[in-house]
Amino acid sequence: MDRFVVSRPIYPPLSILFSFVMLLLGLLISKRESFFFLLIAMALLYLCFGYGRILGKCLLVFVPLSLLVGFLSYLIARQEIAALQMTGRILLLGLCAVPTLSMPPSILTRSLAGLHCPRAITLGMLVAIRFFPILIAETKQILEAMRTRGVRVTMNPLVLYRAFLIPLTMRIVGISEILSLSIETRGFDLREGEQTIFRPVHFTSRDGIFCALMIACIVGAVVWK
Amino acid sequence: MSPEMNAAIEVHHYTFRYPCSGNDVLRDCQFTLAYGEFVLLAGDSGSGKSTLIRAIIGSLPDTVREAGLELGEKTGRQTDEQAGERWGRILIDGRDVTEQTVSARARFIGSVLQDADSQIIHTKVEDEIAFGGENLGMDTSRIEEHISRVCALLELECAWNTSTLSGGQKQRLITAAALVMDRKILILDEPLANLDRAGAALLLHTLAQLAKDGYAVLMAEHRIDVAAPFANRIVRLEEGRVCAEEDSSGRTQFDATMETMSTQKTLRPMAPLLSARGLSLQLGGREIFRDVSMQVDRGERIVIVGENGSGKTMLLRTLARLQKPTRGEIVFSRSPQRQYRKPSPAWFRGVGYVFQNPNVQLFMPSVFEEIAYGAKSTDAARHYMELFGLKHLSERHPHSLSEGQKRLLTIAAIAAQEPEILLLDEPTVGQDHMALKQLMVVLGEISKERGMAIIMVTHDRRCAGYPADQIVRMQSDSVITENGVHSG
Repeated sequence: MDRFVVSRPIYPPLSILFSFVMLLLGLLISKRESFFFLLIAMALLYLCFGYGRILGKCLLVFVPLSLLVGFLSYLIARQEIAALQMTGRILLLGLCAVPTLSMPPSILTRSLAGLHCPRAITLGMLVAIRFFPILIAETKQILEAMRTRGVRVTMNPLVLYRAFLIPLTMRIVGISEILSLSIETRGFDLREGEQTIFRPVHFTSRDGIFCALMIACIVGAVVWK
Repeated sequence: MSPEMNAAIEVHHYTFRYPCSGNDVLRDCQFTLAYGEFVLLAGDSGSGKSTLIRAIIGSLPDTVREAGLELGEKTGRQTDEQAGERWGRILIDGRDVTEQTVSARARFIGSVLQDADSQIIHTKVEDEIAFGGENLGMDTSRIEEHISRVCALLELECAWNTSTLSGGQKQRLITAAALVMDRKILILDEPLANLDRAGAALLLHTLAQLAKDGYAVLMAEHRIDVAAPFANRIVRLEEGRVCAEEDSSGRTQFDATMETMSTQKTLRPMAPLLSARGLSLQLGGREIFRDVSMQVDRGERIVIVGENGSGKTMLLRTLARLQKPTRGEIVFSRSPQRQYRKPSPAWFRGVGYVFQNPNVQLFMPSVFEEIAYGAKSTDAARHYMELFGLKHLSERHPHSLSEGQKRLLTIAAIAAQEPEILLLDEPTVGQDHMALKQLMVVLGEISKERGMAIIMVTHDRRCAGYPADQIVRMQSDSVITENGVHSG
């Protein structure tokens, strides 16, 4: 799970705001040249703030995916620019996921609790960010298990469906049940006000610099001619 | 329970049936757990232990509401296909909690569930343990004090990353997370499943001490031999019914599970099948094992033992070529293949691997079809199904079985592929005494009849006496290979 976690994450509410604003802004300006400036600026910002490893992992998944979607878009529309824009949008999705993916769950819950965020939202985000790395690990294990049972990817699609999707679905259902049960049995409920914060999470000067650079990126992308 | 002891949990004539199921999983269960008592919940695989525990902590599916009659009185049945059905009541600390949520019951109960891996939320051990205390609104100083205490007690380091822990360490972590909440009632579902001998003894001593200090402890466990000497009473479940309560004071440490097996060690190695030379593995900058060499001969039985976190599973995965070693090579005589390539399908026809988690290897719609999938013929599938005692479950969906039965099924399905080497990762978890004994006998028979080499990772003391040809003892700083019977 810690393959996705950074040692010094940005203040969680700021990370979430950054992802949301960048996604929205990117989609709005995706037909302008400044869109690609925005993508590069986001990547540089991540590198400067210690997210390089997670950025690399995300790009490993999202670059081929964006190229595939861009290629399909080109096949349909026969327009290079439209295909390039589509590629950029998929890359944007990947880049926006980086801060949320790499957020340690404890930092998230503690910062949201500190801001008196409703417990239902905290719970939803806690399960969501914990679930994604588990899903990747489970998928890897099921692919290994398929090989040990003699199921190959080139085989009958029905067998492939059974050998991959059934264990994966059962595991997803099982894990989400156990995970939410684990959270509940440890006293997490939706009532407000009772919880304490063991190690409070504060907004630091580093987060302030990140915030300033984020605003600079936004302004730059908007005013770029 | 003596009359002066206060009841922590009272289960009154409790019956439960899962949605769309024709059978009652729990049948008119009646028992009491008092403060100051350590009660062991025993029973075969599928007897309803986990369901009873889930009923107490409140995690069973939505149930049809009952009419609210007097305690113990059977109420009218309503029908709803989406809901389970129940009768009877559960009282915790004298309060009827039948309608309460899990988190409301967590105010009274600390619980440790099965499948430790899926329960871990946080990335650091300290955060994981603190989570329960934070939710209950405990003071930070008190949380800190409890964390130090349980970490020392269960030999955990606060700074460890949860993703790098072994199965046993994860089990200890979720137990620590429950203990830190400092609830007076503790419920544990197979907490010894992944613990080594020292880890199990440590936990049992702790639970026994807590019971002496006035806590109420209920523990479902297959390894009665290990747990019974520490418990006050054993409550036995059979087909969902509480059928016997016994005093555990006369019980001693179990030492003869495999006594009948010792005569079976007659097979001599015939021809080398697999050899591993100078295997080393490093993960995340941490050395898992170093310079391990071993040779596996036809029909040979090898047991890999070691404390939690010593790298047993990683060694087994490396031998199966599911994990690439940092150094060293593995040569399988039937499938010579370059080391840097991914293992081919031919490799896995020769080397069968049974995962610690059975759920990932099951995908067919019935037990019979699961075994028949990789079997040479339908007759062979029937033979293996009978051999592993799964005939009565042949039409059941594999994912509807208990964890112990699922594990048995994956072993049967992989064995039916008739590999030349069978690698088993903790095959005894979830197996009751008889099932374990039968499993060991069957593995011995397969090994003898087919010349199948078996490599088994275990920390289960009940396997003492398993007639191994080689025992690989993994320690934190070395790997020692010995000949002879595994002594636990």
